[in-house]
Amino acid sequence: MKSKKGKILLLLHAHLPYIHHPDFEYFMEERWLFEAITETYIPLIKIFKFLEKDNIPFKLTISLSPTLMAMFNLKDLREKYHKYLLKLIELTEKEIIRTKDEDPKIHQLAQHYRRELIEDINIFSEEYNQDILKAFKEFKDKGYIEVITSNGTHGYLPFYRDYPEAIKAQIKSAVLTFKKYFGDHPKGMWLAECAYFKGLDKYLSDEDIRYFFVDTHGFTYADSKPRYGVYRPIITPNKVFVFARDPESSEQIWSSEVGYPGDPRYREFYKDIGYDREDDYIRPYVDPSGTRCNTGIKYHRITNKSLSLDKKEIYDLSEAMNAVKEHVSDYLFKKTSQIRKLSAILDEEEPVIVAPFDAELFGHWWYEGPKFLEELFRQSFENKELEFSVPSEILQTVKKVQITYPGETSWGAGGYHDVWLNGKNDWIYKHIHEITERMIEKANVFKDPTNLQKRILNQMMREVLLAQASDWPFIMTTGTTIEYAKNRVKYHINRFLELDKMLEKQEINDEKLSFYEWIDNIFRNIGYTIFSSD
Amino acid sequence: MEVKELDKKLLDTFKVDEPTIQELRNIAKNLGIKLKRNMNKKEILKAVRKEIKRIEESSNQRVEKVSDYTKLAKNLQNQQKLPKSNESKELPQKYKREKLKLMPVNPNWVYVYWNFSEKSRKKLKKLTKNSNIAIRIIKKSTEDLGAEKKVIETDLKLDQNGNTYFHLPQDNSTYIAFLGVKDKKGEFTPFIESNEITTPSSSMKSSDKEEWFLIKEGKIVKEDKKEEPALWNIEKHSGSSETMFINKREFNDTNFGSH
Repeated sequence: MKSKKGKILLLLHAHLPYIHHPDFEYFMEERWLFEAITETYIPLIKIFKFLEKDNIPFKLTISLSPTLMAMFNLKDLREKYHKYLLKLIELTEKEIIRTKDEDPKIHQLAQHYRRELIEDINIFSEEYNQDILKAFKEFKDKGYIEVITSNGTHGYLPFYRDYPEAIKAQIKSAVLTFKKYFGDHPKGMWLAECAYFKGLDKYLSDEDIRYFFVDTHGFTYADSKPRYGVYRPIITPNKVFVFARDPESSEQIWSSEVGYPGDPRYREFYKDIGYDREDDYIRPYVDPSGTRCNTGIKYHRITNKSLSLDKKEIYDLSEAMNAVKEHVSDYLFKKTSQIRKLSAILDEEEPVIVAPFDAELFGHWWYEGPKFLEELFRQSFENKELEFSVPSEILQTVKKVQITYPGETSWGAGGYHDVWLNGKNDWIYKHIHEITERMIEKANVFKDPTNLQKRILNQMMREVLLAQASDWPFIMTTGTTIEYAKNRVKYHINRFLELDKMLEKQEINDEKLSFYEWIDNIFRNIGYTIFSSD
Repeated sequence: MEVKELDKKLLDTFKVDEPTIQELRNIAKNLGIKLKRNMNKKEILKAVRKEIKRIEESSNQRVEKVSDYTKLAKNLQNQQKLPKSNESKELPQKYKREKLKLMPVNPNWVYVYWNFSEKSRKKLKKLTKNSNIAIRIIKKSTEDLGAEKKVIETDLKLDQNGNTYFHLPQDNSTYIAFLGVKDKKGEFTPFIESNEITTPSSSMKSSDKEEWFLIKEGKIVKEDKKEEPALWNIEKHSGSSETMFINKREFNDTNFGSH
């Protein structure tokens, strides 16, 4: 078969902050993980299975952040998730009875949700023994997906550029975590928030990371403008390949204005029975305090974006599937015509179109997203002008590549650092920098610690890394669960300072240390020496 | 290796009753143990026990068994009244370390925070009887290292450790800040020096040469810049990050909810 003319590189970045509260039977923010597993990660695994069964080739890159990998692997979170699923199944059973005399479409939807959840619990518990990573590893080993990772705790790296040790620690912890779960070295890295500054490539090169990604303007404002724009990778003087995001490919899918997810036939995210059913009925399935939340059971479609929630019409699965098919045809049509235009002006080079997304867009935010992906691979199978690929395969075919440094960027508002540094969150950096500096000093001083000192130092390392997560300032900016984010920064810093004091005074409170180790025991296979200057 | 449902039943038999040699062979097969034809029951039993122990150990290593700590932690919380995992107290107001830190926000804005020790505060207080405390930002010239230019200056109040933002005129430039004392004549005496930063670029750069790396040969070649392809016209950059983020926010706030 003649080689196709253009490649599409689809990347899904799956990340959630490390949220672990084992001293609570139920903790609201732990639901973020459970919702993402049910609505995004398992649906992705399901579409992989469907495609494989039908012999449809598919290729995509998935970046799993180390915090997410670590949470997948916590036994108590696995058990909590199992219980969460059982509860949801129980709720759908009640819904099936309750909706018997309602609109038949709603009744069918209740049955649909129950069926889906039973499939989910089978995949989660029976097939993969509660180990989600095993499923990703399976499809990685079969060659369908390229799995990469992100830096340690998703720290916003441009803010630590004065602390080379901290950047190294973020990257080393990522590499070691990936090795622990996938057995090999990560080929590439999705930098937290796609945030890059000149010099970061050197740290990646030192850890044998072959490639990373920047936003479009990283290439537009490169030291020397790339001849082929964002449609070919470049290489930095430190010998790391860089791919840049194609603005159009993302916008069609991401944007709620011009993008597909805003179609009236798609499911309405906001109208959820978690908010609509009466208190006594829904209480066992939402926060025990009575605070309502999403259950994932939703019976309405977007209808019209300007309509109030009570005016939304009932969701129709087959109509939504028609929308998916239409949108996939439209997407492939646009991509094919883009590739034609690009091929005409790209000399002999094959155009590469890079489309990165937050994984949770597919399924969690956009219910039909996983089906869109499945259909995308099905329809593109017949397409003669484009195919999907993964970075390492593209790099194998590169013979000649332009050398330049990309410009400093992120994929946040304005394209720089404004989202993670503004009047709502700037107060955190003074403290985080302080503990980062102290951690580096400690790692340089303690060369031969006692076992107890080593435990303290390791826990101090965890507190620093967790405080550095980009999620907390992001939440402070966007205004959701602000108190939780503020508290997280405060307690990681306070715990660090407390542990540091113990170390200094040599008055170690073993029980307290054990307690902190129990709560935040991320990176248990990694030692504090990743922060040393050697 | 994971033990399937079917194997679990066999394993239960293994634990409770004395399995037959056939059952043992089945268990061994399911565990992936290669048996020799002449192995007797005792030998198979030994091999199976060894494999089960190995599986248990490796799964213990992989899965973080947090629940093992549960009992311990409950006791600890009772004895010591340890804080809950979501409780925190306020952060320190200041640290011992003296610091003036510059952080770029975007091509034209920088954030600066400072912290000085009690000793410095006292010293500054003495010095500032007839003068002000100020932060001065200098742009470092790349062409002429000696030529430094005062960019911006702001007066501060002494009593606080704090922070502020500065608008700086030029992208992709290197800046450094000083916190110091300014007398009535405008004479500035620096007291704390900041880190150096380079603001992000927001303008396209042009040069006559392009550098290319020939992978197979491991060689770098310089080429004259070709006429620019019409690439940047194909995609208007309407989907730039800014739009992306605004859309994402709308996604969160109006259409698709958020956590």
